[in-house]
Amino acid sequence: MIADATFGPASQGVRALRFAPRASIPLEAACLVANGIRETFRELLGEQCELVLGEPAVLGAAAWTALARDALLFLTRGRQTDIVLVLPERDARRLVLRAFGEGDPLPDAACSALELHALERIAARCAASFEPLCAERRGGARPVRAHEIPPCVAYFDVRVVAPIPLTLGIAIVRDLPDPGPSGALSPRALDGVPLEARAVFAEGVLDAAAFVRLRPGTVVRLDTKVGTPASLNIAGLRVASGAVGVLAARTAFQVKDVALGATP
Amino acid sequence: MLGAPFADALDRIGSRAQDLRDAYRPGATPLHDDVRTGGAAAPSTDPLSATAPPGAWFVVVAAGGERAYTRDGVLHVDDGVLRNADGDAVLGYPDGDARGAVPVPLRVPETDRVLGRAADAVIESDGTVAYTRAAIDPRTGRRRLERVALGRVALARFPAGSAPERVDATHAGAPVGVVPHLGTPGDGTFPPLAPRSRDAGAVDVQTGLQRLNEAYLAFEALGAAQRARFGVERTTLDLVK
Repeated sequence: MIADATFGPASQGVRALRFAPRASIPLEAACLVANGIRETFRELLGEQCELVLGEPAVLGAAAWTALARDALLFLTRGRQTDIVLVLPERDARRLVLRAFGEGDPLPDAACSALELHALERIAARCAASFEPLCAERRGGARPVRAHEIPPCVAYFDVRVVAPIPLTLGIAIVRDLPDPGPSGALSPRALDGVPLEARAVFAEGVLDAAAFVRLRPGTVVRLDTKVGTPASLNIAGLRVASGAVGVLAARTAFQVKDVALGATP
Repeated sequence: MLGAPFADALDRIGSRAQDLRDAYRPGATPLHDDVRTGGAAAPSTDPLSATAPPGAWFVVVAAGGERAYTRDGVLHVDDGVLRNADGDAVLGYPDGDARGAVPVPLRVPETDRVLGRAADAVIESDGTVAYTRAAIDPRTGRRRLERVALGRVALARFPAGSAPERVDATHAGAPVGVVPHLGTPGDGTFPPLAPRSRDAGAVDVQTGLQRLNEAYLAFEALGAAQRARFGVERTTLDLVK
């Protein structure tokens, strides 16, 4: 589970750090959907449409129930996930009246059958912009009730600022597949890291008695046969084999073979 | 069985103790005027805490559903509703203007409430309660912070010569027939709030302790007098026997 660090209310002085699950809706996809809705509204209302979107958020069942209450819901099925367009009733009426070229709605007035039909058509046109989320749409948008669909798992709101202020929500029924890390570190970023190398040309075993008898001039016979390739070790792992020698005033190692998987 | 003087003395101890218990509640007023102070604003780190100007009261809906007035300005957002430390819904004006408007409980918009977006709410000196939320421009993907105001809290002032009636330590009611003047902080009729502070209450702790001690002494004196009377009665009965 990928989580975002967030902070609690400030009323207690210190805002407690907590981790909140991160929504599976990629911001780029949410932006594409919002741009599609803006174009739809521009065509529908005949005016430039200004909108912003809120940060995609994970939804619990209770949160989804609260968001779906007093709202019209339109379901669009898709291969990757199903999308629910959430249109609060008050905003829905304001939108449809604006589309009809009428004034502000009366408070608490419900939509007529004609208005509901118009809203279905608006939702169907908005659904065309859901492709970035559902990957492949399966049918058009259809009105549903909250109990007819599973609780949505993630949500973002599209807040229309002009020509009429209203908010509509985009919810997804199933989490989108994890796209993986958004960026990977290039191997070249490690080019400057110094590695301590050690060339080993011979090895042997010395018992403790021989060890304590070591003196200057002592000759120790090792197990490695003459002509056996030396090894170049990094961090205790053998990374190459070759021959040791001298280059100018320094010892050197000539690589004959590189180990594909470093071995201890 | 205790007589009426003992019951009165115990009541006096209880009420003096109550004043001291309330001394640290924000905006508390005492039962007894002799321990009342002018009140002071104590600094606070809470961005949703403010002190009303002298003589002004916050307007709330108390637990019983009736309108009440309080000096308690230690506010918080609970389930999307602005409340004070006692849990009363704080009234205000969503459009920010008190003229021709009826104060209502200030609420976070439903979507933001559900998504828990009002965690950084603050109250400003003009009584505006606001929070920020992310607004992403879909054309550029750029985030910015958008300020959302719940409204401005309402303040009340009672006409000269009519003091509000104490309901409990932190609540007062309007006297019968008296309609308080309502407005908003800094609107020309009320001075601004003192944000990031809390009303330290109007209970003088030092004097309160002294009065509580006196109440205990009075109770002790009654006990001593009673014991003396019982002694005299017993002696008299012994003599009669």
